[in-house]
Amino acid sequence: MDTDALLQVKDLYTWFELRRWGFARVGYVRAVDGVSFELYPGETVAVVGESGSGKSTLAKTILGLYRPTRGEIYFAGKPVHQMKAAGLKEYRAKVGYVQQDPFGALPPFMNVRRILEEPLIVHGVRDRVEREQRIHRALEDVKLVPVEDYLSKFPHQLSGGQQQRLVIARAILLEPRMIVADEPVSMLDVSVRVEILELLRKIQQEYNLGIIYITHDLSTVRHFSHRILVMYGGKVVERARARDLVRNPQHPYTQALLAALSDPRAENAHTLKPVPPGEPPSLLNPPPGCRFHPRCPVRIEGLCEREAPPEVETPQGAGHKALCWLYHERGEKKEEVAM
Amino acid sequence: MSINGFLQVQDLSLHFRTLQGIVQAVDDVSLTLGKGRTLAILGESGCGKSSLAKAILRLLPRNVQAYRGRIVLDGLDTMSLPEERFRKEVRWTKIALVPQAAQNALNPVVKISEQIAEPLLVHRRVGQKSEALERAREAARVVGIPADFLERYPFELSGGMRQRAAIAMALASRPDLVVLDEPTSALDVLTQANLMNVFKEIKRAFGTTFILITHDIATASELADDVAVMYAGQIVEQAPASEFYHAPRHPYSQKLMASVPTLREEKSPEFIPGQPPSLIDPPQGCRFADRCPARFSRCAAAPPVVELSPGHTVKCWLYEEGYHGH
Amino acid sequence: MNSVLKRWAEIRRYPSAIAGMMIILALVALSVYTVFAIPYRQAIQLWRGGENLWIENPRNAAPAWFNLFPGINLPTTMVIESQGSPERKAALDLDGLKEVRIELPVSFTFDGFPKEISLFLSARYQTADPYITATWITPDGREIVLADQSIKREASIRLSQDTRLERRLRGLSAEIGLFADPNRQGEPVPLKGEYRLVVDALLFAPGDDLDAKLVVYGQLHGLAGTDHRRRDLTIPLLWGAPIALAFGFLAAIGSTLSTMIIAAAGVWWGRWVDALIQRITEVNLILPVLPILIMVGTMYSRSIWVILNVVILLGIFSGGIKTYRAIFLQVKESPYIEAARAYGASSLRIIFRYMIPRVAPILVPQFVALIPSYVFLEATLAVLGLGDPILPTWGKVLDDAYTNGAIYRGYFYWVLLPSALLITTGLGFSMVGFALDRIFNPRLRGL
Ligand SMILES: Nc1ncnc2c1ncn2[C@@H]1O[C@H](COP(=O)(O)OP(=O)(O)OP(=O)(O)O)[C@@H](O)[C@H]1O
Ligand SMILES: Nc1ncnc2c1ncn2[C@@H]1O[C@H](COP(=O)(O)OP(=O)(O)OP(=O)(O)O)[C@@H](O)[C@H]1O
Ligand SMILES: [Mg+2]
Ligand SMILES: [Mg+2]
Repeated sequence: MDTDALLQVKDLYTWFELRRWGFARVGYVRAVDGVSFELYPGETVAVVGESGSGKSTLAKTILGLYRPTRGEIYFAGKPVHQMKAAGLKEYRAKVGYVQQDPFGALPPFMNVRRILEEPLIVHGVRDRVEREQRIHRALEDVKLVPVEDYLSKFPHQLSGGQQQRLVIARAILLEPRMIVADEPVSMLDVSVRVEILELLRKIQQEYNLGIIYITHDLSTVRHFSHRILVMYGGKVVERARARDLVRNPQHPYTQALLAALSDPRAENAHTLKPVPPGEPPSLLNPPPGCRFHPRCPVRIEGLCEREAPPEVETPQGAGHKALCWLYHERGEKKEEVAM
Repeated sequence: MSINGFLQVQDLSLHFRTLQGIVQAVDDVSLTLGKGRTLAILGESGCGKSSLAKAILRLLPRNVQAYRGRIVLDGLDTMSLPEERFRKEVRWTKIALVPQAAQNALNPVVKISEQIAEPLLVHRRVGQKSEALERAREAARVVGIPADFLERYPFELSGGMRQRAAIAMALASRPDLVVLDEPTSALDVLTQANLMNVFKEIKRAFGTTFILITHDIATASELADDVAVMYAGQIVEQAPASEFYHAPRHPYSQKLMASVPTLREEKSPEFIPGQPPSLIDPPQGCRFADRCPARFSRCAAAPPVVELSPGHTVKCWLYEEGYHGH
Repeated sequence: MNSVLKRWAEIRRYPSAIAGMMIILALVALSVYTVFAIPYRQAIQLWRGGENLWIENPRNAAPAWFNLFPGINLPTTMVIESQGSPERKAALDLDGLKEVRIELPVSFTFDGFPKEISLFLSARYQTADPYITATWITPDGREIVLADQSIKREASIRLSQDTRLERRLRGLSAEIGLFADPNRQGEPVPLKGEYRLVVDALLFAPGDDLDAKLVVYGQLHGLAGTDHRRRDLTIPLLWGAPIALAFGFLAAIGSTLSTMIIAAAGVWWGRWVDALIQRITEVNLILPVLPILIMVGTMYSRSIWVILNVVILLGIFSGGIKTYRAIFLQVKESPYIEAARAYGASSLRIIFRYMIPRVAPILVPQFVALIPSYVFLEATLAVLGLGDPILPTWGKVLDDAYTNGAIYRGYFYWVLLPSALLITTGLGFSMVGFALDRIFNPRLRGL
């Protein structure tokens, strides 16, 4: 086990039982299907992928909101997957959660002070003065200043960006060591997205936090994370340092994703984008073999549709890995045979 | 500004009455759009983009306080038409709308094919149901809905497919102008790219004129021939896309461009400090003034619209004749 | 604070809500006034005290304000007594004996006859019973002897029941015969003017004394009229308000709150908890409420508090639970609940602090509209004879009215007043509830 790691996820599976009429089991939705990674203090790991690829499920399993079907989660060496109520509560103070929809994430009937008091009360901070001090500090950290102007406001009286800063204030209130941010900016305006992400980065540097940044937006990931995991159909199909992944995507899916993204340039209007055909796989009946093979432009016949690829080191090295036969010796051999 | 635009909007205003006061959602907006071109309307959430679309289609909620201005479509002054004639001759016939979040607004108990044919029948564009279904099938093919999906119900389709159905609904009546309100914002990157390809092909094949409303500057670049930037109910800049993406002129446009994270360039994105003014009692002068880095004394008065080059206008004091301080 | 003001601004846009709130306010003010003006013990005493307390009231008299209608001029109750008015009494000492003369003036200006007429005498004496003669002197100077007898310390001379007097008055009972105009034929017509009752008493010791009181019972009496037991209906009509409000409010709040808590708990824990609650509700839904209440009323207790508890109990697993459940299912999925779980809030905390406060405002309109249905339920029970045996309530008044045939005997006021109060209460709450519903659930508003 990696002793430096803040969080270690080992071969994690979260499957949802799907029942018809409440009892007849139809099958399992394999939302998270064998995910492993580590997060170090002060590091941001981005998880990117399309809708339904299992990003949120991964986040919630890490937060202890879902029990993993199989696999292990260690936080600072302690096994989260085995924790009972008391241990889980202690763990939850150490992990902050930032959700996608800031307005929905705030109880609409509480004002800012009450919202921030809640976690403190839950974790037994009895002293009013201490609570007040910690609330002030958190609001200052997220730049909701002057603090007094905000304490008695209700969520609907704040702008989207301010709401999300309040959510972040709540996430850092208990002095966590890790933050799980599930699409923290996708509901916000372009002009404030960067502000929120920079705020998160600043807080990370100040408190040496580990951040799991979940998003479907590859363009922000490049600027605001250290490492990237690309998820497809419940599996991590590629992982690399942020810059390497964006510059030299190795998995055909990542390549397609990046090709579909445009920078704002007038020339874009003149060309069509290459887009792989088909739709993301069903998690209930995933395709056999590689999950991307039905859409893959470079699939190896006879291999990709039969056997699920292992995770292999790509020629890029430096921990740049892909879940793809192309970079496996068997795949290379096949290709030669095919030619 | 070219006088003989296909669509001309002049001093269009749409104000709503609310308990808090009067919301100036669209305030003296002027636009020009040539035939077969695509105008992208860019702006942050709540700046009045959807309201502008509604104003153009005269889809007004009940709490309208003021609705005035001039809209000329292909020589027809649509604002002066009585509601009944507008409904019959313009809405869906000449102008169609794909509303925001349209993929979630489909009727869950009606098959996709019938859903697409519905406006044709309602607006009596065609007499027979079979003919309407034929047109619907054609529209579905254009937007890339596989034939066997047509007999399915909306919940059996993915978000992207549903959005295509909503677009097909708008296209089926072969309108001259299609207003797309955030057509791809809720969709995945690949689906989004796919849809933009569809629009490009439609544009190429049929010469359809589009108004593309979006907050996503990168996506807009995929389709736009012209760009209009909206801020707090007003258009602050309109320019040909080539000029705009190369060098936006209004300080807000510049800031907005700088806030877009780029994938392939090294520069780090920046944010715009502060937040847009309330549309209830907005500032008298320039509405961007208190967030503007180039603010100066004249900004306290409402800025003029300055034409920088043909088709490129800016509502900013910086470009006023005789002032070259920037 | 701000949001309260905003709500108020919204409410003000609905005139019906304003009217409804005025009604509710008026009812509350009335209740508060009643509780202070007629304390509970006193009210119960007056309500249950028996006829002696109300001896000066007529039976089944309509409210006095009937006279305000044009063309109506009916007598109200007049009490004329010698006590406290020395000028009405003259005494003469006849060594050893004493003669007392009491003159009671009756000024009669009405178009109708009184309901009844009685003379009450109270004597203080040592040995022998006083002897009295009572004479009625009409404005036209006729003298009619009403009584000529010796009396005990307290004497009630019910003139209207004196058949011999009736015969002397040509078959008219005293309250009519004494006031009838002798010169008119056919239907008797009252003679207006100044009447006098003269009581001459012979007392047998110098220290003895006597007082007289003449009660001319009106056809109209008090603010609300009287019932068959001479009770002033103001008491039950006034006291009905606080009781109705308290019953309606407590029943509504009790059942709403417990329903809400149970629905929230079922949704939160799900699985068998939820299933159990659902099944209980389904069973409860087919149990008829009224018969159960009647059973409890006849076999156990008719106390309003017992009934209240049964009503709340039956109300918990009502149809409302299904509505609440649907709302809570949605609320349970809110991100803010997930956030609360993520920072470690316990299940109970989530139910009470996060789920219930979220839906409580949505349910305020329903709650307000629920109050009158419980008020009506209480009245229904009372009319069915299952009203609280002690408390004066509107339903009780209605019950009395029905059992005494108020309608076919023409005592409409007896039914109309309590009904009007019930309906007004219902209307007030419904109007407010309706407006609140439009404000809290803007979907109905169709902006
Ligand atoms: N509680 C649940 N029960 C059953 N299925 C679930 C549950 N939660 C998620 N799923 C399914 O698991 C899959 C992955 O969902 P998840 O929310 O993790 O995706 P995501 O990558 O976060 O997508 P998005 O970008 O839309 O948020 C989806 O198919 C979803 O329908
Ligand atoms: N019917 C209405 N009544 C009152 N105010 C309205 C109404 N419709 C819109 N508004 C207000 O007008 C402003 C502009 O709204 P609009 O929907 O046009 O914005 P938008 O630019 O389309 O935003 P988004 O990107 O969020 O869709 C907002 O402040 C909104 O609250
Ligand atoms: Mg998600
Ligand atoms: Mg909009």
